[in-house]
Amino acid sequence: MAEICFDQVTRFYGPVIGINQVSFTLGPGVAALFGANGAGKSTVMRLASGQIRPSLGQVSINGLPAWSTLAKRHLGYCPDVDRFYEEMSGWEFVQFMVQLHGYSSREARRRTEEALELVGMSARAQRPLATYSQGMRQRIKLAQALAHQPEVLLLDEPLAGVDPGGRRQLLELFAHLGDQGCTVLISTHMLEEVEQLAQVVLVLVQGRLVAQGTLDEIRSWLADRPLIVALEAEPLRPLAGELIGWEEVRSVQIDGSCLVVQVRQAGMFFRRLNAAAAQGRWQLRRMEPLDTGAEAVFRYLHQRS
Amino acid sequence: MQIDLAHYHRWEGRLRGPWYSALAVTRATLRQVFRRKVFWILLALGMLNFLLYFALIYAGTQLPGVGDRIMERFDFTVHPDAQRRNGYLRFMEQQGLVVMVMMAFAGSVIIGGDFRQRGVSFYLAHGLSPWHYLWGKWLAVAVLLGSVTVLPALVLFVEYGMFTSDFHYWWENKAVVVSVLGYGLVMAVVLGAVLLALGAWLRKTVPIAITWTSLFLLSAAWSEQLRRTTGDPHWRLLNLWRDIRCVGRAFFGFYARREDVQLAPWAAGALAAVVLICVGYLWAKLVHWRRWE
Repeated sequence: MAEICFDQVTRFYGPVIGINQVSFTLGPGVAALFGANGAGKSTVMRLASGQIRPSLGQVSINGLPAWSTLAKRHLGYCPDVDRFYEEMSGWEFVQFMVQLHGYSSREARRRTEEALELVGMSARAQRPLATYSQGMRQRIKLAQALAHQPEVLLLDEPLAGVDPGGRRQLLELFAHLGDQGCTVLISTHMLEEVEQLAQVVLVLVQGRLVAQGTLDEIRSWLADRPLIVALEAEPLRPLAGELIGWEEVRSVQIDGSCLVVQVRQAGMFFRRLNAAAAQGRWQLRRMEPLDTGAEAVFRYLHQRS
Repeated sequence: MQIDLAHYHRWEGRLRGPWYSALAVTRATLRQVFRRKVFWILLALGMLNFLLYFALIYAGTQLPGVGDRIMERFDFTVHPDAQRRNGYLRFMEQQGLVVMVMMAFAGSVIIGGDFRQRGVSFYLAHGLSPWHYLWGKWLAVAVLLGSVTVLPALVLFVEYGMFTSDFHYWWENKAVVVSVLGYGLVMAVVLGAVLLALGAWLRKTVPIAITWTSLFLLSAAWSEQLRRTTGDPHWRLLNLWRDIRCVGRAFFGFYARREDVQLAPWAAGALAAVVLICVGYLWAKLVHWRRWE
């Protein structure tokens, strides 16, 4: 079975820690690796693709150490590199990459043609890479990752620079591969890109795996996270008085014409606030969560982990 | 896009090993090198000297009476003589200049670009270990170097035997082949290791060319100055190019100077140290290459 396994993996870059005690196991299907820039996504991808070794722990592909040349035959890797061998044509590049897996020239040619067809680049494959747009480069990179029909596919920001139509096609392709039994791990910092097809989401924050589960599970955790909410309502003081008595509310502060409310469990608070507003005891004019940014979400997940 | 083409299954055929895959690295690297006109020009320059020697042998063997004088005039001998001259060694040493210039320009194309554009990712995720990658790259350097030194020298050797119709010449002088290959191997190992290390470190053509040239020219100047000042011939070991020639000449069985007999083992040691340092650097660079970005 196609499987990626990280077991207590830590990777140092000199004094800097890339990832810290990361453990997960992924089987067939599509998984998303989500995190902000510098969170350690690329380190996870490089470890999984055997480019670098872990400082501590084990990384394995189908039970083989990811560093070994045998394990690399099971995986296809689409790196986040944008410029490479500009004078080569797309066709030459993909064929060269296929030959690196040890295929004969004839077999490499056949697989190259098939892979270019798959990513929709057959007609433009004879052009030099220097003339390609970023989206076309992504497709060529994808072709070289898919050409040997790997069981594990690692995609580092595969949708960057791809137009909306192409993005939809590629997402369909990833979903199809996942359904076929391929283990697809997509690294991204735009979760909405892959939320529809990712069965599992891994969230990395500052090198730590802070959440792992289905998107619904992660959403439910986030629904009950602490939050700061700004409210504008009429009348203000009775509302403040009522809110301070709620179990879900930690503190209430009057700031000019609005209330700044520190909430313990956002999901429960919003349900109760909706119900109270519907009774018409006060008129709610504006409601704005103040710390919904990615950092706040990550901070919560980090604390929760 | 034809998504229905996407599937995976086990490959039922026989995959070749990573050492074989490294040959694809060599091929692709050479293709990259010879896409640039400058290398064709350098190769052509290298071939000029070869054509001169080729014509010399032709004239020497086909023009009775005059031929010997021409060979003598150009101080070319196909048999090591009493003065310990050897035309093939002479040819290979003369090709050194073209080799130096060619290597100076090739470093960026051969390996520098991989680090500059982070193309190493592609190699190391494709069933190649850093050793296989280095092997493929080194082979490319060796082929490039051999194409202007070893190969033409062997062609001259074959030519002499053919034009004299003396096929025993090849058998009687088979040591020449070993000597040429040995000299070529020393050059390929040392220059290959230094070039790959410099290319991986400096990445761009101009810094590589400047450092490469300085390395050989300055080391020659310093070593000579230090030898003159101290009178100690061991300072000559600092001259990397001289070390290569000293060890290379050992394959031909004679040295340029008497002191070289004593210096040869030291020169071999110096070259081995340089190669080890370069390989160690390359290994560290490939294993931890993300740290240098």
